[in-house]
Amino acid sequence: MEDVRNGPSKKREGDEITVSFDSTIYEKESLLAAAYTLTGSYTVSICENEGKYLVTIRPSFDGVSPLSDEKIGHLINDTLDEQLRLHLERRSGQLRDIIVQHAFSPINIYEAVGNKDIRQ
Amino acid sequence: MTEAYTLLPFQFGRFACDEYLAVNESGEYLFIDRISLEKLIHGDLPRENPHFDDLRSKQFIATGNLALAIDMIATRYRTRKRFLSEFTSLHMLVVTLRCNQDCTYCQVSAENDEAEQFDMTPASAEKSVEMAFRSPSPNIKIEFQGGEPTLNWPALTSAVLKAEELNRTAGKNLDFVICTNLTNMTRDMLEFFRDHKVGISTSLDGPPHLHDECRVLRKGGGTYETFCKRLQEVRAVCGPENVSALMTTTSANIDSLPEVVDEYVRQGFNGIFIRSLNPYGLASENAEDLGYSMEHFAKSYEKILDYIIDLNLQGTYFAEFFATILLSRILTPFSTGFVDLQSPAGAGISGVIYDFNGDVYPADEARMLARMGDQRFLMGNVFTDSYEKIFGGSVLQEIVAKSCVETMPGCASCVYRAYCGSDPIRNYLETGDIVGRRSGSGFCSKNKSVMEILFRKIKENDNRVMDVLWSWITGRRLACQLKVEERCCENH
Repeated sequence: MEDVRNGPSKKREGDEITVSFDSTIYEKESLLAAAYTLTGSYTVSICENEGKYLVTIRPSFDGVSPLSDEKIGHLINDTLDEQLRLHLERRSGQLRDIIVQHAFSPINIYEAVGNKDIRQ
Repeated sequence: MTEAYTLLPFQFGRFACDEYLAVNESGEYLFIDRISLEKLIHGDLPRENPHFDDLRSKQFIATGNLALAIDMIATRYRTRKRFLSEFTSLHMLVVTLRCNQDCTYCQVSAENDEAEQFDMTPASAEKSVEMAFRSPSPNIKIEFQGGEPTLNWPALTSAVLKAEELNRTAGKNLDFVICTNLTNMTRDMLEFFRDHKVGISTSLDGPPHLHDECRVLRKGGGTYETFCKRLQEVRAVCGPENVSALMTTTSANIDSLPEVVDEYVRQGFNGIFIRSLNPYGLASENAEDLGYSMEHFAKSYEKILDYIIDLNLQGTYFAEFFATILLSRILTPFSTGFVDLQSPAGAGISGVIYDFNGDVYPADEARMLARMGDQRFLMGNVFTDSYEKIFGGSVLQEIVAKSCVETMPGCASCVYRAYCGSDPIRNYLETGDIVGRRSGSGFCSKNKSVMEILFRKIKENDNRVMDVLWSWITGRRLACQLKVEERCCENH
């Protein structure tokens, strides 16, 4: 495996590439979300092995090129973005549900989230 | 120094090198650098960060009463989804599949002009209109489609007269539109359209050599000359404000869009919808000759948008209608009635289509699928099924349940989600599944590309360009808009 000390490493075998993500840093959900965008043209499989998530990507059809280094870079960056989205979801996801409920079926918003000013 | 804040929900996506675009549930947007974004999400954004005040005023964070912030976001959210409260307002009647033209990209796969077995009977037209008036919407628009709808004059006139009769009791805002190639138009027809206030929507693909490339008569020959003659007659009888035109982008004109726009200006139109090819009917069969990649479309779109903006800056008011719709969604909180890009999808709940035999479909593409042997999206028939069965049945329920981008994988976290929509029929056609796999699809690529182009303009924030874009949203010509602004400045 190509060893990039502070980030995911990758290994090519023919048309297939396997990218390894440290499972103490990256959550499975963020990997799944980032990898999903590739499934139009690529077959993606993910497994866990010795503290790492191994993401294997190969072209699904004839005529699709193996994933380029540039696109692997995008995948790694997308995974970071998805990780941030997970944090955001945990902190504000419930409020989105309340917003939609309140928009379509008025509820007592003050009962749902309280009538408190956080500055107090 | 930190000031406590509650993080409110939003989406974000990379926009430039180290910059992100963030859009929240009410459609407010913000450009923010990566470091600030991370701090924001982790709750560490300091008070003195340059984005802090914007984040608060646009409700990405709440620093005071949380309930009040949610109330404001929910109000805007409800405003954006206003189209839902009306239910089905657009009712399209396919009065015939016959057509005197044989356009190479025809997505309805029209039949020759003797194939009367595909004509809607007057009884079927009236029954369809009765069904349309069952809709709770206060606005009913009846749109006549084909083939070439003027080839079935009895059904068309029956439908108009029936609708007017029903509306004397119903009291709805009733509109009519006919989608016609103009080549079969007669004076009597025009007078009928004038007397019954039927709007006319036609097709113009550019100057003669471009228009006649794809829009040809079934018996051979181009249609441009006849089209121009009829257009003059339509304007003389019905009024120039009652006729509009659409174009279809094919490989024939995608690199000549300035010529197409010039033709529209020359013909007196005040706007254009740069419409990409849809993968149905003849367009799908001829895709190799007519088609292009979405990357090609996006590049051409950006160029023509700049061309059109320049036209406006030189004094000619001319709008690009797709940009206008998206900009209305980005820059205002209001709902836009664009059936093709809604969440949940507009198919069925905003517009329906009645086939020549009374079959009801949520979209024309669904009707096309049925012609190809797949009746997956047949909602019912006006002769045998009740309104409740057709509009409350399992077909429509499934479409609505599976076309909310807010819950679809990939779409739910997309930064453009608040402005976007889905096309479940197209997903089904391309993947065999209503939800489909949208990321990377032609539909997704096109819409994302256009939104990126528009957001680049918004970010550049050139005052003159923004004035042009706002003039499209308000429908107010630039000169008038600038005069109003001058008066406001003087008064202050």
